[in-house]
Amino acid sequence: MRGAFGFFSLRPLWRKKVRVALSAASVAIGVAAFVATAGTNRSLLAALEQSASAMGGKTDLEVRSPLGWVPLDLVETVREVAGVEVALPFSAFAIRLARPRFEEPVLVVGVDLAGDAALRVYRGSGTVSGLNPLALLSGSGALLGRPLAEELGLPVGSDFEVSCPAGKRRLVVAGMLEPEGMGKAFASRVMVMPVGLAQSLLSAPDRCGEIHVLVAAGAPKEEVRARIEAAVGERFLVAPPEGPAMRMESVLGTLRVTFLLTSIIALGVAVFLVYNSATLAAAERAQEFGLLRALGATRRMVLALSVGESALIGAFGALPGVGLGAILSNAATRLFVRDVAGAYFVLPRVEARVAPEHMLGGAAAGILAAAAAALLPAISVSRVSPLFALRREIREDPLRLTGRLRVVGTALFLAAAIVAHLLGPDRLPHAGWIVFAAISAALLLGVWPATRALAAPLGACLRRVAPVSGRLAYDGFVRSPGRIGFTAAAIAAGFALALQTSLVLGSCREAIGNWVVRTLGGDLWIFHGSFTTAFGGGPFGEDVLEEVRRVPGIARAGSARVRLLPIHGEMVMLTAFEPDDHAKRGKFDYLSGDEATTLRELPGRRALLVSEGFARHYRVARGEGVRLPTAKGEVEYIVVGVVVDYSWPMGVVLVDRAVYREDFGDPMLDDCVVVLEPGADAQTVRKEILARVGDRYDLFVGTLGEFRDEVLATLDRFFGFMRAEVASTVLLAFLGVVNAVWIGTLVRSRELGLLRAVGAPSRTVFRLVTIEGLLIGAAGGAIGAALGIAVAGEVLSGLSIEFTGYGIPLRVSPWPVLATAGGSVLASVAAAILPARAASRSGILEAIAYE
Amino acid sequence: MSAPPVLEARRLVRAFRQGRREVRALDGVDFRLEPGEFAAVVGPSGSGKSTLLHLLGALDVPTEGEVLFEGRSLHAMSDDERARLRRTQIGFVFQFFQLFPTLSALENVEVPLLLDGLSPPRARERARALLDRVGLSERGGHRPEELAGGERQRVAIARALAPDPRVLLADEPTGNLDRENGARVLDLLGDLSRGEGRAVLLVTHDERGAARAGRTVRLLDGRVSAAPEP
Repeated sequence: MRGAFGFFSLRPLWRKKVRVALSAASVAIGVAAFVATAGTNRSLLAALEQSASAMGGKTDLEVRSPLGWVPLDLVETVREVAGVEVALPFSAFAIRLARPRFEEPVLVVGVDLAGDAALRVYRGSGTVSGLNPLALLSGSGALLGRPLAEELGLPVGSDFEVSCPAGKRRLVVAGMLEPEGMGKAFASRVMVMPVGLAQSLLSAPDRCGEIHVLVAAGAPKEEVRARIEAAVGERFLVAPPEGPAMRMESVLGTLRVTFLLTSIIALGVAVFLVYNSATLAAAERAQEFGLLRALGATRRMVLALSVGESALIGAFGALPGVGLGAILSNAATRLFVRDVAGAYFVLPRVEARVAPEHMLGGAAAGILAAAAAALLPAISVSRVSPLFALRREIREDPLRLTGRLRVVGTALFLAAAIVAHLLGPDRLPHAGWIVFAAISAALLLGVWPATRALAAPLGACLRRVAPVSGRLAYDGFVRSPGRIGFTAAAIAAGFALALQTSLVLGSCREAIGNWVVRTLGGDLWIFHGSFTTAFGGGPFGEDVLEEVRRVPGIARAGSARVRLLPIHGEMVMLTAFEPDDHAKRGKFDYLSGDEATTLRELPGRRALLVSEGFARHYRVARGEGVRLPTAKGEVEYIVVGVVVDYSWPMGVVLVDRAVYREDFGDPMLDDCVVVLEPGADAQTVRKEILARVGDRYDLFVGTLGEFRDEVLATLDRFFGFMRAEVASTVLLAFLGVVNAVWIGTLVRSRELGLLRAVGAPSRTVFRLVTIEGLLIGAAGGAIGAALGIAVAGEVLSGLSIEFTGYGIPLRVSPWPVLATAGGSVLASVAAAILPARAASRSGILEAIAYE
Repeated sequence: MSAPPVLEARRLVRAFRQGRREVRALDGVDFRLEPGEFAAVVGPSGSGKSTLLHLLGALDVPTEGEVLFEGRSLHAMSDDERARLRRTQIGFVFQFFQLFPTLSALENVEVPLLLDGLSPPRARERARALLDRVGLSERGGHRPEELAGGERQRVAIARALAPDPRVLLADEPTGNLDRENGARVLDLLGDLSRGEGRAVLLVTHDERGAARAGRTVRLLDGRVSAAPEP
């Protein structure tokens, strides 16, 4: 068999270079999308884990609070617990350097100078071997990661400015850390300083982030943990170190699912193209395989030769696909870090790395997918009778399913999709996925009856317009359910994906854009850092608000504190705002409750508004209580309304800032919202705000329109990655039509030759083949448009609700739908041109002799 | 006890549907091919000659009746067993040569050997010997399109001989050849039967070709019309 494999599997690939290259390219795109997604995910988590590991050191237990800080005097309490060897304060937070063109955040780590070397590794750069670099720290000195200091051009002894919640501060480079141990944290963009100095940057000198504990050798950890819990009280959590990766994992899971889904669809369309290519090869080489059977090859041998050939195509595509995936992984990681995750988290610089198992997995997926794609055509050729070789005929359509089964199956799957959609994720777990699975099954089963039904009226028209070519094209069309049906399915899937992406993006843009303007309101927004780092720029003091209120031209200025709070193990967003001020500039969209009730029951009370997503996740309704972990322990707040809020996928609670300040002991702000006096010039006011508080904080002042545009631009960048995948999917579908029409010309070569022999000009043959492309495109476009709308609706309702708890209204504008249908027809006609030209130019005798 | 016939057909019927009509290409044919025998089947077009050959060669299955190869019923064999029989015991020579157009003459001869699991070097060695046997040792590297009709048919005969089969079935092997080349092919088939003791069944509508065979079976409308004794 080895030699036969060379003759009948390897050599044909060389003979059909273009087709093999196209099929391999499709596999490469699918594999690349898969590898890039996996690589991005792993790189992000690996970077976070590395930082967490560097910062955790030998820590056995952490004492922390849901609020994100613990009082410094608690350290002594923990130290006195029996079995505790070391208990040290530890703070870690991101700040920005007050330097132009240095946007990336830097991690500040505050530690106990005397004892921290017992927990973590520090290796100074250029210091005496064995000297603890922490000994170099005093006053406003900080140890900088050497790569960071070199990038900034800061030698030891120089000073630099940072922008932090306490305003702008100057620090001195006391030494440098080699990228090892703590020096590796946050990709070496780290500065280590005494915990007191670090906390002063946060304007919270009596606190630290958490307490790190080393349990004495031989002491049972669980017992020591119980003792510490008893000593610190229930307001604090005592647990092994928790990496930030865990928190990010749950939040970003939704986004990754979206990427993965698109990758799977890309690979699915690649599978289709390989299927198509294998079908074409089966049609072309049926006689060859028949002859092999006549010479004694068993069905298994023919099957192995045929599947092996496609597996080779898969391997040709998978190998460059892995390389392409590694390159794409870089771009995807950058996009993810900067525009998606970066909007929610402060992330270190992430080096994209694709793990060997993902490379192998991607390559294996490509090869197996290609082999699986060839299975149906391969089974078909393996069943070719040995007599086939002697009859000199080409097999028409390798795949046939009975019509009634298809229609009944399609109807059942569509009914299941409708029922699952109507039940929704509230009543049927994973309803969104069930809808997708049912729609996919309905598409596969029902594409042929639907294609035929949709093409029938067009076929009738064409027969009148072009009696010979129209009739023959339609006849050929209806004779090949497998070839035409699968091609129409691929066209429909490709264009449905494009339409779905467009509709989802359009709906998100409209809903979120309107929400920003209507709900947030105001003329100018003030953030620490920039819009894109709204949640990572760090808070600032109330002095900004007081100063801003004094700026001429400002009618009112409100503020908000935005932070993440763990509730039932999930990170929920808490927004503390000023209800009265907000009511004068913005309006909530209430799903339950109303503005009058909110203004009556929220100010000054332990009450809250919850987002639709929160209400769904935690199954709470108006009038019910939600327990929040405050500085005073767990406190119950009563829900006074449920509102639309798109700021955080895991749910949002909104409380009165005055109550928050009291319960959480947190006077900091994350943004100020300014309403201008009538006639005031926004640019003048912006300059004045920066002049008054710009030297204290590194603030960013933008208009509401700019803020909305930035939010929408982030959304566009996120969808940009998906659009690249969609474009490749549409390209693959296009190639599928080329192949399918080519198969058509091949199986009908005798018919076409006869047509020429009885006097039909070559343009009639050209027209006939092109019309087949037109019919495929029209049917595929119509199915794709319907499918795209259905899938977009499900993504925005079922899947969105499942992952974020909120739905987004679907807005169907006619242009993308028309573009989908029109694009499908144009692409299919264009795809048919090449085979049509080849068919119209083939010699008459050759065509007749072929069969 | 005498050896069983290499091939035996008992009351063979092969019917095809043409629309709603059933057409019997073979209608109760009995036939025996003894070891080392050179027999010919003649008859006009549509008489069922090729259908009989296909059934005897395990390329097709009868509607009724049975075919036995050395006493074993083909009907009782699985598809894989029939494939193995074709691969090892039966050699085919077709009217239109049926060579793989993309392979060289040498490679065409190698195919059945490789399918049977012979290593590529051994398959090549045997293929060279067979091409030499049919007088084409110098043409092994040429593709079928570069060979003349007679040469192609000799390559096909070399391929049919590759597994050293017990029986050679030739379907109109001279139908596409000129007189001189046709005569050479028939000489070769005669040698294979007489010189090597291989059973050869020649299907032809050419009476002169059939005359070289030791026995001629005449088919007409799917039935044996006369079968002169050898």
